[in-house]
Amino acid sequence: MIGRVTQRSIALNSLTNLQANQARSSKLQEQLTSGTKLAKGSDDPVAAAAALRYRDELAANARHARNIQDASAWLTTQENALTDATKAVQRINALTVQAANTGSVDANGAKAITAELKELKAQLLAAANTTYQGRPVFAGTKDVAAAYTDAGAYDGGTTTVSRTVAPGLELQVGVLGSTAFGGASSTVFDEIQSLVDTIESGGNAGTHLGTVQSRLTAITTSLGTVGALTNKLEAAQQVNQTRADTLTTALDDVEGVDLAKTLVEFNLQNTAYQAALQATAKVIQPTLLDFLR
Amino acid sequence: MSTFSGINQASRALTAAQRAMEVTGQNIANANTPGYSRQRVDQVSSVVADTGQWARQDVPGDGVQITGISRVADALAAATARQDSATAAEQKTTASVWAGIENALGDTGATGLSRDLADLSAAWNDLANAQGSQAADAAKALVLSRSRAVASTLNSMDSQLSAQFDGLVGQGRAVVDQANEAARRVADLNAVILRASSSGSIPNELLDQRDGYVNQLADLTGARVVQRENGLVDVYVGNGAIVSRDSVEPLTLVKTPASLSLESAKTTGRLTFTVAGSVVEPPAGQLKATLDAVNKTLPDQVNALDGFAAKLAGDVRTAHGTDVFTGTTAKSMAVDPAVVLNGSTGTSVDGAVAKAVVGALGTATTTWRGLTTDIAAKTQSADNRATLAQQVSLKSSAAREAVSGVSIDEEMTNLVSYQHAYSAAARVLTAIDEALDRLINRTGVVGR
Repeated sequence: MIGRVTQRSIALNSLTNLQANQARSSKLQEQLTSGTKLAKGSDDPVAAAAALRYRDELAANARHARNIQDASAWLTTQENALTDATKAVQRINALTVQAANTGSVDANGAKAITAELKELKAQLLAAANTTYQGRPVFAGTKDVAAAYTDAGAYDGGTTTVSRTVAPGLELQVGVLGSTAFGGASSTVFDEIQSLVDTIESGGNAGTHLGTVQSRLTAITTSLGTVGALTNKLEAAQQVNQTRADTLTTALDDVEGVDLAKTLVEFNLQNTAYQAALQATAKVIQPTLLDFLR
Repeated sequence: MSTFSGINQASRALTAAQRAMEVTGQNIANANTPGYSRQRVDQVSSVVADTGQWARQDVPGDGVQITGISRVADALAAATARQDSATAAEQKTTASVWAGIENALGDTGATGLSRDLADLSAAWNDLANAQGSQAADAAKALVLSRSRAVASTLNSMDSQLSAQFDGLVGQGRAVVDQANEAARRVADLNAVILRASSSGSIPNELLDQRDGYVNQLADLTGARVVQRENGLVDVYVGNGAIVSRDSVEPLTLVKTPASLSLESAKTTGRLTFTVAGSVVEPPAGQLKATLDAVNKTLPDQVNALDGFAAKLAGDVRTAHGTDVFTGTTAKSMAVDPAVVLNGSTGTSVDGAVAKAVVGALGTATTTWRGLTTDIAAKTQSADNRATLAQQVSLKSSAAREAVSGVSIDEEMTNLVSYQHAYSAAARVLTAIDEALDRLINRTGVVGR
């Protein structure tokens, strides 16, 4: 405790205190107008570190959201192509059954069947070579213009495309052409060609029935796989969305201004400032001079 | 004891009261002068020194006597205030150095390098997803421009630190000049004070002035003051005497090498101060803060930044297979002009390389987060220390002010009592005058 108090020390002290008061007011005012508690990291290093981490995670989450979008488009393209292919193979199945009924199909009928089969083959080839943004969706990761050559040979890769849809989660996007339409050993196109050859040579189409049906199974299974992957992707998307919301809320918690709280503090600060001004005005004005005649 | 000794006594009282009022006037005049120490009239009651056969029992004292005008100062309080003020000056400069570093490197994620890194990661991610060569080319162009943004952000961080470094060296020079000027004033005042006190006058105001310059010296260099005989002071910075009696040994700023820059300070470059050729270490004050910043804080920060840049370039190289960034320091960081970006392994389009780079950038982002958090924490603690030191300094200068400051109430009270003393002494004189008048002019005229 200081024994002796002088006018000058009162004035200096008052000035310092008033300035500290003003500084606090200005800090709160800055927070209110900028809407953030963290103008710079040193305002609160712990909160700043958390804000940085949340922002980085938000950025990663946004990347994953983009990947999910891309994967979703990729899967939809495959699903449409496989649905078309299923219809075509189902028709091939029907035609094979029809052709196998040797009694009911004459030469013209057989011609019509082979013509339709060739048409369906072309349709299947188009489905198998479906592209998304210029890339064949059934070619896996191999850089080719088309998954199947015009002759019907598989030219795609052996690895499926994958996308990172969550931290550490690589999701397989779609199936390989070789799984659905056949790869090295035998493709759906070879099978149709062989069927056509049999019908044209007057052979028994019924021998091909097994092959056609196992192909149908392969394609519908692939469709199922794509459906399952789409489900997984939708789940990932929901998680991604929830995470984005959680992170945004968390970020707002650490750096956002609680308006009600800050306004109350600001008003309290203002009241304190005015009280300090009044007290100062009362203290520094009078001296003994005011009372000596 | 003569007939007129009463007049003499009254005259002394009048003089004393008058002198006391003058001193009060001087105090009031300097009530707001920074560094002024209040003065006080020292008076004692005068004794009649009659001894032996002249000694008598019934004689009062010989009135009042002024023995001097003393300056009310507490050397300890003054020294404490000086020291605390030097510490506050040092911490304030340090805090401003850290604020500068935070301005250059600081990052809360809304802007700054972490934003650039996130953008770069997004670009690599797009490259991983790119379908077909056209889309890939577009994605690669984006990766390149975002990589350039990262490199140029690092370059500009380095140049900001470098500019701050040069500014601090310049500030060091200015501080040295100011300190030398203040030292010269102290030496000059030493000489004047010596002359004044040997001729018997009281150099109170000169002492106040010299205290002012000594305080300034302490704020600048953390100088230490040693009291010498005859009221002189010597001033030391570290072990170097920059003022001894009335001579000055100027402080010199030495740059090693002469072309000292942030680049050379990273390795062996140093800033030093010398007095009479030998190196001195300023213990506090602005000079110490400047010295620490130039020799340690800034080189440390730029080394950390260089380490980050090298790690970023290395990690991206490892993930990508070939150089994307060249340069191993923040200053030399650039995008390799010959870079051929590759998002996938071999001829495939699996995007594996781009994914690996995204992973590497994730690690780099974490490292950067650590770096900026460290800067934020250090800036905050430097700020807190500066605030604390400022408050301590205020308290100790208040303690000095409490001893030496002028209180107007006190002066007015003194003035009133001195005025009363003066009036009373005048009344005593009148009484004696009237008594003598009666004795001289009216005695022996009975019946006339």
